[in-house]
Amino acid sequence: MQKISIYLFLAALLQICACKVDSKIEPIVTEDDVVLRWPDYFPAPIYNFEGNKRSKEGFLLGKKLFYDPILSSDNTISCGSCHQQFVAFAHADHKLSHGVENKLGVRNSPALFNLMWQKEFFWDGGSKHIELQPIGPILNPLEMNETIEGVVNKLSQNAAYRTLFKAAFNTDSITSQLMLKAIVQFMGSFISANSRYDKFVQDPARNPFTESEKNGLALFEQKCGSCHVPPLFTDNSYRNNGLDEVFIDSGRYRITNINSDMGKFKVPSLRNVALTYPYMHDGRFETLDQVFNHYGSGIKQTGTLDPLLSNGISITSAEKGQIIAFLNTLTDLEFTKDLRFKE
Amino acid sequence: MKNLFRIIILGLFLINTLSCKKDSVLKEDVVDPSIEIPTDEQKYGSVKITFSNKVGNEDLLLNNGHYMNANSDSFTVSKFKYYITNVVLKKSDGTSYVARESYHLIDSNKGNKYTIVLDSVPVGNYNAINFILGVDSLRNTSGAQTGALDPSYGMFWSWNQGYIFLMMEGNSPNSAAFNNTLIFHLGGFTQPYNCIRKINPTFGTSDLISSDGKTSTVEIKTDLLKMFESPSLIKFVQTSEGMGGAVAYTIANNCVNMFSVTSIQN
Repeated sequence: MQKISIYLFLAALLQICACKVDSKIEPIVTEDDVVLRWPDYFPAPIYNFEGNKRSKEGFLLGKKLFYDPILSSDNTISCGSCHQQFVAFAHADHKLSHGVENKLGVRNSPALFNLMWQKEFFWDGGSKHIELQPIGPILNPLEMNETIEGVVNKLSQNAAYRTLFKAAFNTDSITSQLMLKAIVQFMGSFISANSRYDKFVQDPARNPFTESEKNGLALFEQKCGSCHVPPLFTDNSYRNNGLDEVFIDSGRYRITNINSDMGKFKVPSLRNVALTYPYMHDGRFETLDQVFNHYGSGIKQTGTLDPLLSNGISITSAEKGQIIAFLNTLTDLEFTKDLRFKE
Repeated sequence: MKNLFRIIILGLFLINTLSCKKDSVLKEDVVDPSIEIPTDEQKYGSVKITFSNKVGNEDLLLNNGHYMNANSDSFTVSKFKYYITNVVLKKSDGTSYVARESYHLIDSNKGNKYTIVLDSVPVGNYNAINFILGVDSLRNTSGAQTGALDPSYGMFWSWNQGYIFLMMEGNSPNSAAFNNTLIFHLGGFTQPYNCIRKINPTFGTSDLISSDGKTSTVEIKTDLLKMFESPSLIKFVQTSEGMGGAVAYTIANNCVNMFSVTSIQN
């Protein structure tokens, strides 16, 4: 009788263990899944993972870190909290970033994709390297409010992470350097290049645009394309697009201390723009319509206003409809539904 | 008996391998082959460079030491940390010994003396030393770093990213800031407020001699008072805080005078 109850106990234990393992199973990622691919009309990437050799294990570790609130001081906020895959890793419907203890940040969470082609990060370019970028939100008191030392200590005390770091980097010692490199192995893999626009560029005969999309593309090139330059749809520059007469947020000036940078912010990519609302560095515009109205008649004249915008951009409402039709072709659902990146 | 003998041998072997490993980790400084090609006959000595944190002629005492700057403002110090990097020793013939992976964080909270050991300096007479106060722009922009440059040491700005080259914090009754604090974080590696400074403290008349298998010592005094002295006199009533930018730039210019060689022992 006693024997039976022991067996039962063991069986129950096994089941519990099995359940626990089951619930932790990651979607299967193969070596081929971490190979990076992009179209030949993309420029050469700025970040080549030099000194950060990609592997399946590094990718999975980075993914776990990206979605784990362990990076925040009270273990409530992860990278994924403000960067959601279904909206191209922007923060759906949130003007400003949300941090620990319901604190509000001062800027809109940018969408994350094609980061290999970015030289600088944040709206003001305050981060000069993709591997250093995560330090910003981790330390920001209004975001994750942690210290690097604190994160490394927590990870080092966690058996699961010790195993994952061992698998990824063959080391028993968890360092901030390896943590950052792992996060980049994951987040640096976000390539958005499978939109309808891309399919049109690659084979227009098989993937034609509608008349209105075609007109929209031509209008876009004429009226928007000098800053939002294809194929990345940004020129990675900093510009004052006439949002304010008085700068509550000094933007790029905060980084450079150069007066001519006052009120300038990074030109964001317009890939996936239909998904990444609200818009601007402070999320002030809810809709693309509001954005067009701003460029049409809302430009504020200041000393650092971009010369291209000094007279605003004249767009008729018919043209606006066509440009929006074109912008919708930049939505990349293969990227937003890519199972490799799914939480 | 035989087994015990085997265990002892194995134990000794293990100790040996472990200690070897430790040695190779410590041996971070080697001759840069682009500067001088070592031959089989090349002989090496060791050079120890010791930095001592002082305020005038006194040892720096955190929190409880009461000091006076050149403007006669009294103050205390709660933090004093700085990066010494890219150490170079120069011979009179123009050749140099460049220490490789030469990044050191000196933190007075861990003691007032910090010794850099260069353990394979080619033998010869060296008549000058130079190093950087700060971190070169390349390492500021080369991705995640480790060792002395690990951002977990709190010497890294998260929002305008780059290393803090020198951090001095304290209090002064003259400071108009909240709680009379002094906060000086020198950093920034781009114009117009680049705070990287190359330091060339003079050796005076005596050379540093690296001799085969021997250890020579250079003692360097780091005088915190010089931060506030010249060419720009800092008055705490006007200037009690600087995190990068113009204030940090001005103080970085003063810091060029902060280091002096106090002794060379060959």
